[in-house]
Amino acid sequence: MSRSAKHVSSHPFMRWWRSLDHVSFFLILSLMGFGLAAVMLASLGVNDVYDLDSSSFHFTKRQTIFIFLAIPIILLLSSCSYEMLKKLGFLIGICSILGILATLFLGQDVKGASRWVRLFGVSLQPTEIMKPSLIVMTAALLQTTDQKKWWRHFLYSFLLLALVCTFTIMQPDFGTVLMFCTVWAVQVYLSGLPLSWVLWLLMGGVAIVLSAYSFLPHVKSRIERFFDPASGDSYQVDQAREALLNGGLFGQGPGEGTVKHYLPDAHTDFIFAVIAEEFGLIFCVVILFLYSFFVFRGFSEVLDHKNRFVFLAGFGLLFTISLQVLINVCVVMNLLPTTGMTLPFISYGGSAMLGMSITVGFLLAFTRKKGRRVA
Amino acid sequence: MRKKKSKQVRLAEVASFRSLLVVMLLLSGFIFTGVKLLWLGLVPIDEPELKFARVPESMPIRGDIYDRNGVLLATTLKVKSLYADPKMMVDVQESLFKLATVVPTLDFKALSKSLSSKTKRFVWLKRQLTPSQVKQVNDLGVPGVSFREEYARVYPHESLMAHILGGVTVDGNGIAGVEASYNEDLLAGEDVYLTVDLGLQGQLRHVLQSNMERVSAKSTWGVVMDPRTSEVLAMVSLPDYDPNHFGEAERASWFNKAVYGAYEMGSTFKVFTMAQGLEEGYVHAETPLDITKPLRIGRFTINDSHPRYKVMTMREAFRRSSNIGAARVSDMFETGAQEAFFAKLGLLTPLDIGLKEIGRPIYTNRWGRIQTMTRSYGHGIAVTPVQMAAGIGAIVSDGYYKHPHIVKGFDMDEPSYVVGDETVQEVRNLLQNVVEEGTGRRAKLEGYALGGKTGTAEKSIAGGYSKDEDHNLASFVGVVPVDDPKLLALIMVDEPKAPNNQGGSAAAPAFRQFVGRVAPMVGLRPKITPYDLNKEVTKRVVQNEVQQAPW
Repeated sequence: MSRSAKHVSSHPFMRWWRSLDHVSFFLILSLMGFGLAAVMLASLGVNDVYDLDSSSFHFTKRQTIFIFLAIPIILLLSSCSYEMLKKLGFLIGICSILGILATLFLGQDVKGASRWVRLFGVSLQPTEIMKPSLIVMTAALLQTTDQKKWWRHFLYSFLLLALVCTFTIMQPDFGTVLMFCTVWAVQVYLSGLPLSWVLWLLMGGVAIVLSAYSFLPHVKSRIERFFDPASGDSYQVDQAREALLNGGLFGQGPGEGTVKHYLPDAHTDFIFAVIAEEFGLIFCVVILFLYSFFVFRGFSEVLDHKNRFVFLAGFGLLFTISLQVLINVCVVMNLLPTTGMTLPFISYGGSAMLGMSITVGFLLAFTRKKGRRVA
Repeated sequence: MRKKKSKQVRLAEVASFRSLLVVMLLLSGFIFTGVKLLWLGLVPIDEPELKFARVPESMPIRGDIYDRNGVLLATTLKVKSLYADPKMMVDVQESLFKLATVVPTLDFKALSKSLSSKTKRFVWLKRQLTPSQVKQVNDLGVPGVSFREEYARVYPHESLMAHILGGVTVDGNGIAGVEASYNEDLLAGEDVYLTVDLGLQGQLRHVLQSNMERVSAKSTWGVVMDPRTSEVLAMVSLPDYDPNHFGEAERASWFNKAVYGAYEMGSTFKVFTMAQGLEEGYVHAETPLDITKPLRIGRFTINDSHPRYKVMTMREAFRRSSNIGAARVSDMFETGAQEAFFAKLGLLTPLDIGLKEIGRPIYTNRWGRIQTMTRSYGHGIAVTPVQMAAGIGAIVSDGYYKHPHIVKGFDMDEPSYVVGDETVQEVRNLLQNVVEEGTGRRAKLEGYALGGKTGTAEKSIAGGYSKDEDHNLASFVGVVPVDDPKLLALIMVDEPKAPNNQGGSAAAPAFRQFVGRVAPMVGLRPKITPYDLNKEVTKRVVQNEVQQAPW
């Protein structure tokens, strides 16, 4: 009691700092740091692909800037109260919806999809920022325990999801839509949806995938290429798989890999292939362990949390991170069709980094030690 | 109150059970992924088998190609190709550096990647090495590299027959020309005999080349045919390429303009118009034609390029290459007659002469009065040079159309009737008149009776016709001897520069040079009287000296 009194008397900044989950925070920092190194190595080859000067460190410089923008965002968000987080969630969510709408009308076409929008001279991919805010909004809606209210809020959250997904699928970005739907389904499931409805939900999910397969040509071709590699160009995944085999357990050594010269996405979606080739598969398993350590440490904090909002939102955010890591690694191993999913904190990209820093910021706010909340 | 609380507890229980379930799922996902990653490193990669398509001993060697006299044009030789087995290599970079001293064209970046691969056992380094390269590679003693015997297609005459022979891929499949059209037969080991005469081919190429330089043309092409059989004796399209190195040639040079290009021929088409007028009885050589003013049809005006407005005989109009004259003759034809006549001459359908390249004529289906008149002097319809030559050949030889072909034993239709003997005789006279006194004077060669017709087409550029004097397509079609043609040559020159930008100045001299060189080869003796022997020009012909460009 005297110890806590001592802490309470400290400066608010110190109180916040002491309540922070330092292990998770430094884990994320080290992943970002390693990611920067990996981007630097990958960009040695990717510079050639994009016809950039090989000594320009274009991607490395930009990624450094992204990281230095991400850290204050994480820290700022982690200091917010739960009510503040809800409001922020809705605010960011509305901005993202407007952003996704903007991509449809004035977006830039990159590789056949208009997912980016230019804002103040910076290209942003609003769907990446939508991910955490949609989870927080859903959690805020579903947190109620009043049955009637819950059903009404369930309907609201479903409509919100449908709206976001409609705009996203028009970009088109089916992988992200699938992600939105899956996380939403998990949150609804955890908030106490009756079992009969769970079945309906599953059937709806199957229906969505099947209709995407039949109506969206790029989805169809990706799935077909996955199941029958001979039917089309599976260049990226072939190269990635070969990189994993070439790397072996111990890797070729940093900078010694060759896959980065042949993969245009070596610094983004396929960075895991570069890491595997140069650092080896054991190192990859270590990275995977770091992710799971962060995620399961988070789960242990939110699972039996008294506050249903924190439980639902925290679980959803952790679930997103896990799913994204697993899908990215499985795509590189050619166990799943290509989706355009980045590796959190490691892949190059400003929007993904911004989205992930919001995610982690929320999580660190949720996992702050109880009774030491600021404000 | 109590009820509500119990409900909350129940909800919390459901939540914790369900969340545990999801977490377990995720955990197993992570474990599975981690194990799978380690598995990839621990389980040895399936040893790829050292397999490649072995050349079966029983497979016949690709057949040879010969000219009409049995001269070898294309054959197949055994050569060695260099490959590497990445598993057996010691130091990839060092090996590549060593090999590059012998084979400097190795792609370092691509090869160092594929040679570092653990899943490959066979990587081509360089196909078809020369014997001395093979020896040098053996002397290097690089581990992990080895040779495979392959067959290389060899063309001893290099670019001389380029477009006729075409070429093969590195795997020995025909890709153009006779190599492609007779690929099946050649693969089965059968030899192919062409109608081409290597000697005539060499002379034609030489003449076209020097003529192209003389008139500073962009390109040039020609066809030489025996009008009695429609056998192609020589065919050249410049620029050309060396089929021994087909892949390295510039793409533009692959195009065989003599069979694959369709062009508006211009005035040489007047031969067809006059032949039809004669055959169908509308005109004879002395028929007067009204050429006193340009011909106006609706909003079109037909005019001559070098007008001499007066009433002239059909012979004179032809000699002066009057568009108005030709248009007036064609205007006498019945509706549809011109189309039927062109069809009989094979000008309206795609033509297969035994090459892979099948040229297609270009024309609109509309065939009204205006079209008939412009087509009478070779505008508004584009045909291939071989079609043109075969059409002229039918009219100057025996009046029958014979399917042109370049391969001996080519499967084709029987000759078909086009015009009668009287028309043939008359057209021969008209052609001789052009060379004696008309636009083809510069084709005249002492000792030989030549006939021919010039053509100058303005190239159509961006929908209209170029009025630029340097954008013509000049041509000359000629026969020798004109009283019983044994050789027919069509020579076309693309964009000759002024002042030699007309058919008479750009193409006719090349015909004369060609005849001067080849007539003795095909057994045509110059007709020379003792009186002629005093002439300087005649002396040179008799002594079989090639006339060195008096122009």
